[in-house]
Amino acid sequence: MRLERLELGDWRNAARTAFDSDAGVVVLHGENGQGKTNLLEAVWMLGALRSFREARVGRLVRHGREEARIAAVVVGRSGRRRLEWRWRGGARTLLVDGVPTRDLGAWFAILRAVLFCPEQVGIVRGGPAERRAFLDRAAFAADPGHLEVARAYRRAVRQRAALLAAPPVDPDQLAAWDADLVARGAELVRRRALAVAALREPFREAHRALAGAGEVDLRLRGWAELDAASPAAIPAIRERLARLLEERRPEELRQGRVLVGPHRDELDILLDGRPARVHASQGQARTLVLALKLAELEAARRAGETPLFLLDDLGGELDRRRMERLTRRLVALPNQVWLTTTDPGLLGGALRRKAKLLEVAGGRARRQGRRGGTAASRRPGGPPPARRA
Amino acid sequence: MSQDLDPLRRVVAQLARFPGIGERTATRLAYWLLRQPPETAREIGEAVAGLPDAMVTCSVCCDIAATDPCRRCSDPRRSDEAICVVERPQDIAAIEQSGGFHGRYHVLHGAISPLDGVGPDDLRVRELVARIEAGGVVEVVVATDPDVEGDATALYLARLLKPLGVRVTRLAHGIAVGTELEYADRSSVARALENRREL
Repeated sequence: MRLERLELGDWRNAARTAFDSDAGVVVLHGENGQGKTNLLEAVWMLGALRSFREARVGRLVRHGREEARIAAVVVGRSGRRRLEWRWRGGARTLLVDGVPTRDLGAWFAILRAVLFCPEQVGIVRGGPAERRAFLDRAAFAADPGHLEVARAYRRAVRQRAALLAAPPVDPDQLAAWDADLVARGAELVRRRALAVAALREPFREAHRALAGAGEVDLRLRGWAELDAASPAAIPAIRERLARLLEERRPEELRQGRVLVGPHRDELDILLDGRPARVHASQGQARTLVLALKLAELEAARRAGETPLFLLDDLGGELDRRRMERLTRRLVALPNQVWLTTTDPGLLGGALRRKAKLLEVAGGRARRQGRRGGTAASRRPGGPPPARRA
Repeated sequence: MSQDLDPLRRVVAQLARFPGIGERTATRLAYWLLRQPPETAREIGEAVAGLPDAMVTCSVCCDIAATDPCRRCSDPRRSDEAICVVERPQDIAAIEQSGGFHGRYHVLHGAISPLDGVGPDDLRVRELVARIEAGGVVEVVVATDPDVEGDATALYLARLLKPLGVRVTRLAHGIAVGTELEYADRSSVARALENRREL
């Protein structure tokens, strides 16, 4: 999938802007505070239907405005499609080819994205919730159906937690929620275990290519011996979850909390056999996260999907050698790559030759030629791609 | 508060209380009413005003009906051997239109949801158990929504009813995930009935 054109209305600091992005690599560069990341965030909003910086969508609307709009032309397996996201009066509307839809599966079949931003160093160094979120997102990149499974499971856990928190607990109702948790939990564990299996080899390979040293591994703690691909996997997981529930029921009732289930599972990221969470330096953690993201893309590719790859603030903390290795990987990717940087000079010649360079100023992107000239100067008579819509 | 408004504003304010009807649609409807012969507004008003007193809850199936027992519960052509359990009265229409079910119905008036403080005692579960204990029922088809609360309610009913010696089945494939029964198309409902599975 490839995003060929982006249009924004009252998004962050952009009043109205539109530009073509018909290239394998799209580089958004410019001074700090000009809105590079806002544009990347708009692409992520379409590809993930959320922001990576702001949980309250209302705050993404331009100051003093009531509604915001992001639209894109996406070219992919299902042809040329137009996606539009609108925010108005605290509610979101999604349109596919001009028709409103609530079918997120259909939306994500057209566009999905994988994100790398500096804050994601938390996947390695933060708490288990960030690693579970990464794993669920990686499973989703390869199969959008994972979204509904993970969401329904979370809802079931919240329902069961509400029941346990309000004693006296009706044992018959608890049994129903137990059965529900076992069924949904088993499906979630199997999907996550399959995702770990799909990520492991690409992760090792990407890490070797980026870092040059250090052996890495991934493990879903407690489920390492599980053969997720086998048809016996689901019954085996169900049996184990049911047994754990049985064992810890008295404790759950006493504490009024949910103590069992894959919402508490841990994804172990190992560097040279030791937990990277405690043993990786800041630089190593950054490289590990990049390798995880490249693995996520590779696992999705093997599942027949090519989500966009968005990288925010590239060049921040990587040394020159790692940067060169990364840009070499980016050039070779079949995915469309979007990145923001203050210094396109860091990117290296091969990437710059493949890239469309857009200079961002005042929330708007303006095309530059590959050697620094503007589009208009290279294509006399042609309409400037960055124009008022 | 709406008493202080002029009559037209008052009608607009009342119409806008309907779900899915905003200020703009309400205004359009009110002006349309004004353009009709006076008896139109009177007929609509009388029909609406009489509604709460005219409808009762059927003491058998708990559907909202004009008579007690309702016409479906007293229809001799329907089979007593199967009961289809739904969350809302309007779900019955969805099953009926599919033409795939000829038994009786039971309306729970909701689904189990601890987050909303709704437990089995807040639903018409006791009435359902009483119907089955009275005998003659062979199968209970659970047609609750295919969401987290609907699934848990189905699991709860299965555990409760199976010991009473009935077959408990659940509507299966055919209805898209996230779709409420009320909004599903007919062929999807028919397929879901065909594929109902044992719980």
